[in-house]
Amino acid sequence: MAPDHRKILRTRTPPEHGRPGCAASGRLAWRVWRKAVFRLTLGAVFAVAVLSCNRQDEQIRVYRVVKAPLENPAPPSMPPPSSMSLPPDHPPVGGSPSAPAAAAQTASKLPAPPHWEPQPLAQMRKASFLVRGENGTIADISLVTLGASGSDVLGNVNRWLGQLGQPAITAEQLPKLVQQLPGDLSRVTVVDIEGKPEQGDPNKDGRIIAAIAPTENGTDFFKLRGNPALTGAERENFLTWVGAMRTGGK
Amino acid sequence: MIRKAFHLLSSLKLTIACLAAGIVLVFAGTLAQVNYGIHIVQERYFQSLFVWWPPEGRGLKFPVFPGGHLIGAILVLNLIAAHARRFRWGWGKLGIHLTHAGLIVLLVGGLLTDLLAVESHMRLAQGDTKNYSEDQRGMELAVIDTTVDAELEQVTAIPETLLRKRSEITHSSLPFRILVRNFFQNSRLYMVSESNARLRPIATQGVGAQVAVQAVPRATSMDDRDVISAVIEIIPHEVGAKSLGTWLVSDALGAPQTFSSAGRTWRIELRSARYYKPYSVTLQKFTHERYPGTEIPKNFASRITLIDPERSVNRDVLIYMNHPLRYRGETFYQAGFQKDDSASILQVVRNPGFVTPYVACVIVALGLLVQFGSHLITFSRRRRTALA
Repeated sequence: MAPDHRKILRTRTPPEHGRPGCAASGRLAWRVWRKAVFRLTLGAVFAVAVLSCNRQDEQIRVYRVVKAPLENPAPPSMPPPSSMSLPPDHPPVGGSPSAPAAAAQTASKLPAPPHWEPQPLAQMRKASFLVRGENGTIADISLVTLGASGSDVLGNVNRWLGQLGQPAITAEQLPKLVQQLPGDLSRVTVVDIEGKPEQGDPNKDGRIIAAIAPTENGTDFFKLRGNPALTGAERENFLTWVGAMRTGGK
Repeated sequence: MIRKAFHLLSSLKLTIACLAAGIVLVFAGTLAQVNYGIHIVQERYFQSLFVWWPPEGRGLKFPVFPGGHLIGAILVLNLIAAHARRFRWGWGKLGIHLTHAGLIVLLVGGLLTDLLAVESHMRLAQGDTKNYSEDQRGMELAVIDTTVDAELEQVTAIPETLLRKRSEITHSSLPFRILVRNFFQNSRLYMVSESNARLRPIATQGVGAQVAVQAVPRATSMDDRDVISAVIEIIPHEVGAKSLGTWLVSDALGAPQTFSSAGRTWRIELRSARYYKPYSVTLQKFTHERYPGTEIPKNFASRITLIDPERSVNRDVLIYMNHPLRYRGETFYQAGFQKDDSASILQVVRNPGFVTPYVACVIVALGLLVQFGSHLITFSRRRRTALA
């Protein structure tokens, strides 16, 4: 005869702590357990409270590091006496993408036309050149890097139009003024605008050719601004330089 | 009174209320991501004791809902209290106890991870060597004494959270105090000289004397991040010394600025918070393989050299997808690469509680095995008895 499964499932085992002999040990275990749980809970609450109050993101840290090699070209004669110190044959440590000296060096290493005169770097410029034309005409070439917020093409184009005394344009008019570089440089937006700035010297101003190039960390602004004819004549050189800067000269 | 509170803390109703609140919080947080993005929502909804209203501004705020930390903490306490109150020893309940213990370990581990884990990244171009990683979101104001030593420089790193409070910052390593005059969580910078006359320079010294700053809403997209800017005033401690003026520090500035104080040269820079390590990593080679004829990535890997002078370690390691490097409590994952393959990006994770989920899963699995196994054995015995 088949067993009645429902009956089997309904049957309950008598509770173990109800058995004589088990009650005393059960009560003792219960007391020990409660105490342990109580202490453990208190400890855990205290630890979490301490951790919450002692957050790293609120503390000022002071530490010493080896100077970046570009700022201290002389090789160290002795290993620096810090926990951050490296062995004598260790390669130089650094590589901050925003270090000005590094940026300046990168800019100067990359090919620029020989007739572009390197200029002292202002605080926001990573590269700066001056090109001279006939009859005292000049054009200024610069590379400035800003954060990601700077990549708003329309805002920048309107800003440059304002500098040349031109009215602002709308987003619908923007495609007529900008173009993308071909091939691997398709993320680079180029704008070429002309105008007559108020009180501007036509020998030095009147046309802007700019390239907006988004990077991993922000936006590179390449800008050629100066006398309209000279700026136009330098357009190819400028775009070649932009391409070289983007590809690391490859 | 204490007994009443204990009964409330151990009640099943509280468990249900917490779980329901958790569901509502997750639902509301998911909806809020549309407007605020994942990072802000994580901060405001899940990594907080309360959800506050209104979310923006510095005025009066009201807690409108319990935050993730509060719900999680109450759940843990509720679980422990309920267990302590209703516990009756018996081998038959071992499975239940183990399962509950596993859940407690899981919840506590989650909280520990939230409080202690640090995620950062290391961007390395081929041949680059670094002994620090950078925070993905957190910034710091680095005030660097460049004249402290011929070969070393001393960095005083002030976290962004202190700048946000717009208070006065002093430290024994600095011969001046820093007053935070203005703080922008997200901003845009404009060159004043190149713009129209409506823009005013934000600071009196350094690059800030040529730059205007506009506050913009916080970045909400996954790929965007806020461009944090602040205006600080530097006031020397020396009696009668004049203020060194106001300076703009910003994530958007490509270069640090320098000034002199107390006969020393200082550099200031707002940058991603750095975590220095007693070892260095050099990228030897980055490989990015694609499926033939497509741009679909097949594999990307970084061959690095790890040098640790303290432990006399100098070895090459290949880091690739699902094969991270674990060293000195940190894990280096192959996280990404620069678009033109010129640099590799390693994610660096320090999580002292990383083992808790594994431990919790093992305990819970063991508990369930014991629980269901004991039932099965009891059932089989009774069946056999009934059959006999």
